[in-house]
Amino acid sequence: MKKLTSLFFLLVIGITRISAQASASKNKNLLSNFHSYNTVQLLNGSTTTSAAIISVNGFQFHHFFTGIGVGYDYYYRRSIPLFVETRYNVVGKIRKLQLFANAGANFIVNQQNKNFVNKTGPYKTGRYWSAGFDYFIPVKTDALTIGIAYSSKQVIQMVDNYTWNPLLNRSENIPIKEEYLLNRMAVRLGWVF
Amino acid sequence: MKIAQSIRNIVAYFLLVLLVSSCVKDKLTTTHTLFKPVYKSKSAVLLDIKSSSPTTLLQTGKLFKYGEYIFVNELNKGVHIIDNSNPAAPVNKYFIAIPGSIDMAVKDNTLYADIYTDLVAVDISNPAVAVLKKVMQNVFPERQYQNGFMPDSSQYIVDWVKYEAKDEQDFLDNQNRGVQNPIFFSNFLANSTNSGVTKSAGVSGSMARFTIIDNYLYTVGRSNLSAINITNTINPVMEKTVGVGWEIETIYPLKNKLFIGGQTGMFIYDVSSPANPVFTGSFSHACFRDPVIADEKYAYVTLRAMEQQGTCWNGTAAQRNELDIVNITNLAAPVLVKIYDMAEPKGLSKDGDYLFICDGKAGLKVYNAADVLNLSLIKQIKTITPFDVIVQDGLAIVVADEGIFQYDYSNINNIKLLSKIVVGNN
Repeated sequence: MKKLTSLFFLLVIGITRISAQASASKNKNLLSNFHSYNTVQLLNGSTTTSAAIISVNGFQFHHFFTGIGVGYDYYYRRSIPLFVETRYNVVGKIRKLQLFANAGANFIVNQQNKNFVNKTGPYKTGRYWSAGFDYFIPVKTDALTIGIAYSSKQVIQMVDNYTWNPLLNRSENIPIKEEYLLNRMAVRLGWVF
Repeated sequence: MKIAQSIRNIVAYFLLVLLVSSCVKDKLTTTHTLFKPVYKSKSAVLLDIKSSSPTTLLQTGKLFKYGEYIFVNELNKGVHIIDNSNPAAPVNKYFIAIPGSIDMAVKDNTLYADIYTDLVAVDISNPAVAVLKKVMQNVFPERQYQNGFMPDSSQYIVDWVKYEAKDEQDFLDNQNRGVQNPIFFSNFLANSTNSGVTKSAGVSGSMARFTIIDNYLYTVGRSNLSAINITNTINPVMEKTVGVGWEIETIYPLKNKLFIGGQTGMFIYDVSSPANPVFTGSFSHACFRDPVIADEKYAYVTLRAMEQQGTCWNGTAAQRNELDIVNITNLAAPVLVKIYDMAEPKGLSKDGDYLFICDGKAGLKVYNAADVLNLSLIKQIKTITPFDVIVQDGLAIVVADEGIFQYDYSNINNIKLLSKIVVGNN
């Protein structure tokens, strides 16, 4: 809970700073501030080791970057995280080392998870967040990024469970709610332009 | 220099990853819906078995017609007594609290009902002043609970409270972990109504587990048939219990024969010697729910799919809904003669050539069954979700999810709704 609260405030600060700076630089071409961060992540958790691909697109103003991110996460249950991300240049204005944090929703890809036949039942949208830092290796005007992060995604399934209901005196589906909180370390390799 | 610095930084990062990796743990929080029993002492419960003011029908159960009265079971709560002297204006008169009750039968002003594993005999010669006369212990031992729940045998369960229980644990890999069920009853508790007519006894529907032939009350459990002597109506005596197949659900009498419906087939027993039921013949099918009625020539069996099962124990599909017509001219070797597709068939009843079938969400269907090989649909009433029906002398009494409905079928081509007692509004 504390982590989420901290991330939330970090995002708010990022957004307000960008808003303030955008109004002060209204003559500047926004397109030149647009950046796309695309990473492949190796995810390691207590359950398994897996991968994810993430793309975050947004705008940089001075020290701060804010953007919208989307990805495909293969860890345990395939899902599509959708989130807002804020980044901060630790070393001046030059992209050398950036801290980042993001938070949003985690959508389960049902069709890809249908092979888990011992459990049927719909999935619900969960939470997604991560935080970490990226190190930049400049390549002309773009950069290769290497980083690490701590990432967490929530998977919720209402598992079908046909059983007897003594109140209704008949068998019915009384789903069992299973909430997975999947916490991983991520090693990141990316490209930003 | 710069490259060396970069390499040092990368190595530092990976070391950090290894260090922090030990902090990652996947967690699973499971939320189960459970049911907790509410107990009351047996003595207190038995003291409450008497007539009280009428209560609202909330969850209709089995149906029994006796004289001018209709007895309607309120699942696991008791029995409503409805004055039906005027079927166009039935009056909900009294309620007898019998916790755990799902079945009943009446003979000579004595109501027989189950109270969980026990059987009670209640004198209703004056329905306004019903009096408990006898309790027979452990008549229905198969009425069990699941998942290791053992009820306090010194008390009765009078209600259930639904609640949620959370369980958090470290999660490694539970893809192969089975689904865990909360507490529930065994499937002994099928919805059913009474069956057959015997003198001094009432009329029941097709889905009952109780029936009366002359001076004997016959009850079916999950896998057995009991013969209870009720010559002295207020002092029933257990005579014999015989094993009958498994997952038994209904019983229907025809003269001195009992037609017993179960999930694996129909079993016919001869009770010419009332205290000694003798197996005569059977008709097998796969794992479907199976109420049965019969006339001199045919047995009429509705089979209902079990929605939570993909296949039966023998590998056949469990998703079939149908009416089977079985020739019982030779009781030792019944023969299937015709199958009719249905939607969600449950109870059924027959008066002469007219066959009434409760087809779940498809409503009440009335057929001309003069030619069983060519049933002709006369009327389909889709406004109700029936599960059993009693038809007699032009009056059809239907118990449905929505309440109790009575239809006049004296003119079969103009079936009219006479009255209704709606659930939650009576």
